[in-house]
Order: sequence, then structure tokens, then C-alpha cells
Amino acid sequence: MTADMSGAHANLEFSEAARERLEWLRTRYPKDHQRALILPVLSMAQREFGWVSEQVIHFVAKQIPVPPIQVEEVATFYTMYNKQPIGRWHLQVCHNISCSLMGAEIVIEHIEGKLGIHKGDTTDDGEFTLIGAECLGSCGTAPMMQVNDHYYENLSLKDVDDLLDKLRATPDVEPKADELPLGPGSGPSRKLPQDGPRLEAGRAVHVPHHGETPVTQTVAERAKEAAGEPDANPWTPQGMAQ
Amino acid sequence: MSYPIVDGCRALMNYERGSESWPLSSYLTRYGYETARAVIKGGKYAPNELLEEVKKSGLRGRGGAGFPTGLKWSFLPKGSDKPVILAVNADESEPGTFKDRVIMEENPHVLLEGIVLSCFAMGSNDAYIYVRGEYVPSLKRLTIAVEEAYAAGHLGANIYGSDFRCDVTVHSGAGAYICGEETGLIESMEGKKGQPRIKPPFPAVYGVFGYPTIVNNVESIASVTYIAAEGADAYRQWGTEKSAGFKLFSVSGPVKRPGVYEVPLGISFETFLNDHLGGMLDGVDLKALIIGGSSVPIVDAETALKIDMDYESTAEHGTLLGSGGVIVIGSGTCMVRALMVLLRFYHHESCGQCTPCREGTGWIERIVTRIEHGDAVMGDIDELYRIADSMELKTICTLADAAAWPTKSFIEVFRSEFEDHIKQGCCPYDNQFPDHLNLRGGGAPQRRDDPEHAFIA
Repeated sequence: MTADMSGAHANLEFSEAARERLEWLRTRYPKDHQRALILPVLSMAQREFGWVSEQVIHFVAKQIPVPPIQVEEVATFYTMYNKQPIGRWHLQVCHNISCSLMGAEIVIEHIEGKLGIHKGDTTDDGEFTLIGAECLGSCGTAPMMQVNDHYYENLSLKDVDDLLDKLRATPDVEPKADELPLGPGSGPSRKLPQDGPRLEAGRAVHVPHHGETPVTQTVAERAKEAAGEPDANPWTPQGMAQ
Repeated sequence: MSYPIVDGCRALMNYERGSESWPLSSYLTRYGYETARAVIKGGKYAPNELLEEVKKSGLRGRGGAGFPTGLKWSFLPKGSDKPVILAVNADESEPGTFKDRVIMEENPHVLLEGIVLSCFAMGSNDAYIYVRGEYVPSLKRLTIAVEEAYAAGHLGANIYGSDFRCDVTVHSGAGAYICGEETGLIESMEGKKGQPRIKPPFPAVYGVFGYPTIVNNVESIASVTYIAAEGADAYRQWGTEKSAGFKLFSVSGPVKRPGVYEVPLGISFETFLNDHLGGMLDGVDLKALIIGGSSVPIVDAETALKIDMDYESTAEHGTLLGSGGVIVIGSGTCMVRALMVLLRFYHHESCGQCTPCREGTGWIERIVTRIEHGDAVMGDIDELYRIADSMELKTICTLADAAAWPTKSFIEVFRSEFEDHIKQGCCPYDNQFPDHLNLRGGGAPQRRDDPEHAFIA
């Protein structure tokens, strides 16, 4: 994407749900080792702000707090942090051995042809980013791709065509309460859905990202709604020696 | 009531596949948390007795190295006033391996109960589950399971009215294969780049946050639940003398029924292939086998059919049981290309700390790419082998070895294919993806019939 990125991440602020989770995270790691928060908070920041810009790095560093260089080290080492804006749908086609044996390269070529982009690129309309991913642990159902948070497996080229059409036609969906974009990890701020979590087939759930209406507000509202009145922390303090 | 077993040996997958097996309510119908209660409240075992039982069971680390789990626990320093940390390694990233994912998604509480029991045995109160960041479904299911377990009093302080506390935190990685290495995982948990540490000091002495730490694979810890429930002798009814118990194998490649299987160790690969996997897809023959995840040496079809799936037999036949990621390779597959794909991965995942690995993985990837594209000379094959050979045992962790072993074994077993590429100046396999894949549509594919994996909306 070639959009002007300057000022993309001015005046960063976490949503209320994210702030709550941050406070909770602090209690899960020893006081002297709050650096451990970098990965979870950076993941959370990426979900809130769409990608990891320099401003996001500084923002995260300030929250923990740690020197920004420590956050930058992490942001550049791990592949899941997007150092550039990505499309609305992040197509990650596994091209490791098991998927490759079942034709992953054909799937990638097919998508490249269909979208008119190469691996690593984003379409001009900002809808799709295509990358070749290393093993995503879905080897028995190869070929597969991950789109945002969801796995699509046992793909044929027709499935890919259908999926891309479907994604394109899918409006931005507000995340459901059990899929709050709070970054992975456990958190006390949510109540369990009555019937347990459901990971339904192919449900297109969109993770909010850059340049859109401030979804953060919605997320916070949703969290409140889901959690009811915030309980006093139901979990015992960790009591870990320092 | 006792710990239920399904199909003769499914202990960790002891539920109907495809059923809603993950909520606490479902787990409670499967003897859920009865063992933890019996041990912690009922005094079934003292901590050291449970540790002995795990030692006696012969349980070996299921992440790949196969190190005896009980023995690992016994390396914790005695009488230290530092807290002990259990770090559960759920950074399942070895290509071809997707078994831990099944435990976390389908039976997360068996892992949590295993954590409670393991923490009790090793004198730990704080456990972290380090889950690879891509595993969003696993993270969600685990998160919910942890919340359920806290709410029901299976985790937290004063479990079952005892003075035993066990806190579990789900910690997500962010995409780095190297964090599956135990000291890489520790560094990553501390919020750093996942660059492995020099050992010693071993994690049992100086681990995460400087505390004594035990890093165990998801499947190992989950197995502790069964061992504590039924005892070491019951566990030993499966498997062989040196490879005791059951094990999850994740199978990929052109077989009729790929997926995750829980079988006793020591089962012959031939039986496994024919009885469990339904054999190869029609029109495809077995060409080669990578039995333990992409890092272990490859064997040809003839050898594969002689292998029993346990630690000893695999070693006897020149390979390793590894993580149990069984990658079946069918006829029509270009082995040079397969190696090229693997080496791209190792090059990408090298953490860059040690020169032999950082540079070596790049060199061998480039040479294999050249061979695949027909741009190589004969001497390149030996050069490739020489570089791989000199990468072994030169680095802090075993990622370099994990790249070297397949490289060497691919050349040893399939040298003529490398030579053909060079002689013909191109890849002789023009049809790398036989029609059985049916990627291009136009007929019913041979395998798309697995409802639990029908993720297409």
C-alpha cells in the first residue's frame, strides 16, 4: 500500500478494554520483569492500531515502561508484527513442506494471478495482502491459508475463488464479545459465553485496523457489555516472589 | 469411575472426535479433575511420590528430544527459595507437526489438569503456557478453559481447600520457530528476541526470570494426567520397554486419512499407514517418509515400511521419532524441490546468533535452489553435503543441525535425483503436483471428507 503514512498513528490511545487488560497483564509477571509484557502488549497494540509503526513502538514502550529499543527489537524479530500497513484481509498461504506437497505454490500463483499482485504485496484497493507463510500447523488439511485469524483448509482453486469473492463482499464485522481484539492471552475482563466458545467454520471476523472508523470505541463498549460491571479481580494475586 | 480410554489407547483424545469436547462440563464427564482432586486433596501422592511415578512411567518429552520427563524435573535444585516456574511449550512450529493444537483445541482441560499435577510434583506454583501466536483457536480455547478452571476452583489459590496454589497464564508468541527451543522460549517469555541461551546453566537452575524453570511440551504435561490417574504401570501397558505409553502422531501428505492419531508407541509404520491412515491416495505410491517433523532425516519407502514408531526403532533406521510429525511423501514428488522448501524455512527461521547457522542455512538454501533450477555443477552436491556437515554441532541450539540432517539425508537417499537435475539442466519433474490433488477442480477430490476440518463456509 502506498498511502501516506505520516501521521497515521498520531495521538495513540488504548481502548478501555485494552487498558484493563494491560493492568491485568502487569499482575501476571514478576514486578522486576515487566519487560515480559512487550510481546503481549505489542500484539494488543497491533490489533488496536492495525500495524506496528514507530509511533506504536514508542507508545508500547511508554505503557510498560521499557526503553523503546527493547520493543523495536521484538517488533523486528517476530514475523507476526506488521511493520507496514496491511490489507483488510491478510492472506497467509502456508508454503512449507506439507502444504507444498499438496500444491501450495499453485494456490499462491493462482491468487497472484487473480489479484494481480506478488507475494508480499497489497492490492491497490487495500483489500488484500498476500504472503507465503511458514508452517501454520495445519498440515493434515493442506493446502491451507490463514486469513486474519481464521484458517481455511483443504483448499481447491475453486474454494480460493469463492473465498476471495466472499471476503471482498464481507463488510467490516464488529468482533463478537468472545473474539475481542485484545491480543491473545487470558484476561479477566470478559465473561464466558453461555455455551462456550464457538469457532465456527469460515466465519469472517474482521479485526479492526488502520484508517477506519474508530473501532476502539465499539470494542470498549462491547467489552463492557460482555463483562457487565467490572468485577473486582476474581483471581488471586499471583504472589510470586520478586 | 476411572480414567476413560477410547479405542484401546486414546487417552488424551478420549472423546468422540468432532463432538464438543472442550468445555469444562464435557471434561468433567471424562474423569475431569478427579485426579487432581485425589492427589491434592486426597493425598494420593506426595509431591516426590508423584515425581517418582512419572519417572517410573518412562514418559519421554514429546516435543522432539525425547528426554525423560521425570528425570528433567529431578534436576530442579533442592531447597532453593526461588519460585519454580513451569513453562509449557505450546510453540508447535515444527513443519508437519500439529498434534498439540488438537489437545489445546479439543481437550484443553487435560492439559490444565496435567499442569496442576506437574506443578504439584515439582513444587511450582506458577505455570505459563507459551502458545505460538498463529494458533488463535488454541489461544481462545485455552483462555476460556483457564477462566473456567479458575471459576471452578481447579486453579488459583487454595485448590480444593489445600494450601496449594497454582496460577496459569496463557502467553502468546508472535511468530518465530526458534521460540520452540526451550531457552529461546525462555528468552521470548522474558520479552526479548527468541535467541537461545548457552547451556549450562540449564533452565532447571536458571530459567525464565532467573528462576528454576522446567520447559515441557504440551503432550508431555497432558500425559501426566493419565499417569497420575492410573499409575506408571498402567501407562506402561502401551508402548515398548524404552518407549513407553501412547503418543500423538500428526500425519500429512498424500494419504487417504491424514490427521492426528493417538497410538501406542512401537506400532509399525506399515500397520499405521494401512490401518489408520487408509493407505496412500489411489494412484500414488509411498516414495519417502519424514517421520518426526521436518528436522529429522528422511528415509526411503523400503526403510519406512520396516520402522516401528518408537524412539529405538527410528534411531536404528537412521532417523528420529522427533515430534511425531509424520510427513508422507508420495511418488511424483521432486525431492530436490522438497529440500529447497525446507531449507528456505530454516534459513528464514535462523535467529542469526551463530555464524554457522546464520550463514550456513543461506548457503545451502541457495545451492539447493540452484540445483533445482538446473544451474548447478556436479561438485555442488558434495559442496552442499560438506557445508551441511560442518554446520552440525557448532551452534548454541540445534536449529543448524535441524537444517543439516535433512540436507545430508536427502542427498544420501536421493542422490541420483540431485544428479539428474544437474545433468538435465532443469527439474525433471514437470508435473510436481499430480492430478490426484484435484486442485484445479473437475471431479471429487479423494480426501475432503473430514467434517471436523470442513472449515470452508
